[in-house]
Amino acid sequence: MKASRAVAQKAFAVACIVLVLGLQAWTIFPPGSRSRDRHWPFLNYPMYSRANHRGDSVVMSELRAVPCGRPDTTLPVRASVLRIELGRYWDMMRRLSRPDTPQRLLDTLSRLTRAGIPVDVCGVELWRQVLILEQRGVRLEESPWTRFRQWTIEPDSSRRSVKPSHQ
Amino acid sequence: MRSVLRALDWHFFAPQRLSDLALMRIACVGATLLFFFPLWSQQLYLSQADPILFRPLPTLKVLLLPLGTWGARPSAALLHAVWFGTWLTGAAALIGIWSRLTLLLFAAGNTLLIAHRYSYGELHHPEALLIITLWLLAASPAGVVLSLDAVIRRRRAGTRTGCVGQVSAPPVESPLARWPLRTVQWLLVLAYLSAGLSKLAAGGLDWFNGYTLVYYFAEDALRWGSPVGFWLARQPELASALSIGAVAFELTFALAVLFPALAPAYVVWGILMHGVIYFAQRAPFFQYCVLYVAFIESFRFAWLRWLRQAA
Repeated sequence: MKASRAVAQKAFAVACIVLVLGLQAWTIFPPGSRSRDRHWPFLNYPMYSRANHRGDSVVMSELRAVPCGRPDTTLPVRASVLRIELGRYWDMMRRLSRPDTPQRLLDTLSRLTRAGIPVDVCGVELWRQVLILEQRGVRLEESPWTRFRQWTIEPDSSRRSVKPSHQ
Repeated sequence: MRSVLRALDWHFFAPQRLSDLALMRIACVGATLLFFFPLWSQQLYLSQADPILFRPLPTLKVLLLPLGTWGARPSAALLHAVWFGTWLTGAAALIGIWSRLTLLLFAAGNTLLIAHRYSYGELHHPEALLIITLWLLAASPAGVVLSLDAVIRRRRAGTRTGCVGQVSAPPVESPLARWPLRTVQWLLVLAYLSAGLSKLAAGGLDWFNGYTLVYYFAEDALRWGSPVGFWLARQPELASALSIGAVAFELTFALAVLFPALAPAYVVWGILMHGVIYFAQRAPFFQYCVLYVAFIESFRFAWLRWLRQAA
């Protein structure tokens, strides 16, 4: 009785080992640069795997809202303002920086911006800071923020949509 | 073939101190409760996020299946109950009362809360191995010693036999005490191997040119405001040396498992590496430092060796 219990306990342990290490090994092979996130907590670890070279640029992006009637003023639109997670925020900015921004994304951005900012907003802008990798690394002081793209939000809040005005 | 199986059997099931496993339980549960427990404010914030953002992970769907429909979004009230229950079961698992059950509920609760957090488009890596480890501990005799269960068991046995205080203590070693620790060690090996191989596969030898890490230091320093990261982003030669050291660590970490005498050196190397990553890039992989407790036996042997040499 005691021996059969010990065998059962060991068989259970072997099953756990095979399952856990098997799933983890299955997730990490073949190695590459793409994340396989859907099987969390069994993940691969490809972060920071892309190589960079001298001359490449580090691009930082920031969303800013333009209050109605104050075209020279901008308010930062951070992930917390939009009530979205940082990863989704950065993904949104990557997609906004492309020339063919989908209308659906602009609609979502408009809706979230209006919901998150207390003042009436008539425009959204994408600002960028570009740092070049030079021989001695990067120099922050030579990299000012510049406006990269902008969109107009319809003043009628019930329509909740944006129109691309200038790219 | 038989010799390989015998070697594997010894590798995973050679008798080990039950107290090593119990210390792993105390370290993992204690650190989770103190430092890594999901914030209620974040769970509430996410439960009120725009429904369009909710994309449940399969793990969350499976855990919520007994409570509702497949893929349903958990309500704030349900999350609050799970959060509170998980905290209570964690406290019980830490002191070791009804250890198996409380460890199981603690693992399930943490998995549900973190899977919920990662069902809104953003996913991070630090918690994954610790979550798997909590499940492994629940499946093992992690509460047999250094627990209230052990005290209660001794008392009851003493009362039955009528000689309180003279009842034999639980066994010091068990063949079932090693496999969870070994599995955690190999999970760490696989995670580091994935990181190292991904760098070689995606970046090749260019990954070591110094500018690769300078780029990542600059990007993260700008995002998170790290002075150490800014400084390192101006040191391509140092960045090149750090990149060689990081990949060497990741690709050879298996040596810490295969040659236990090397484990203390690898653990120190790992803590230093994660420290630099945190201060330069604000990427908090402190959970891995807790998981290094799985190498406790190697540390004990190294300590005994040092004591012998000193004597």
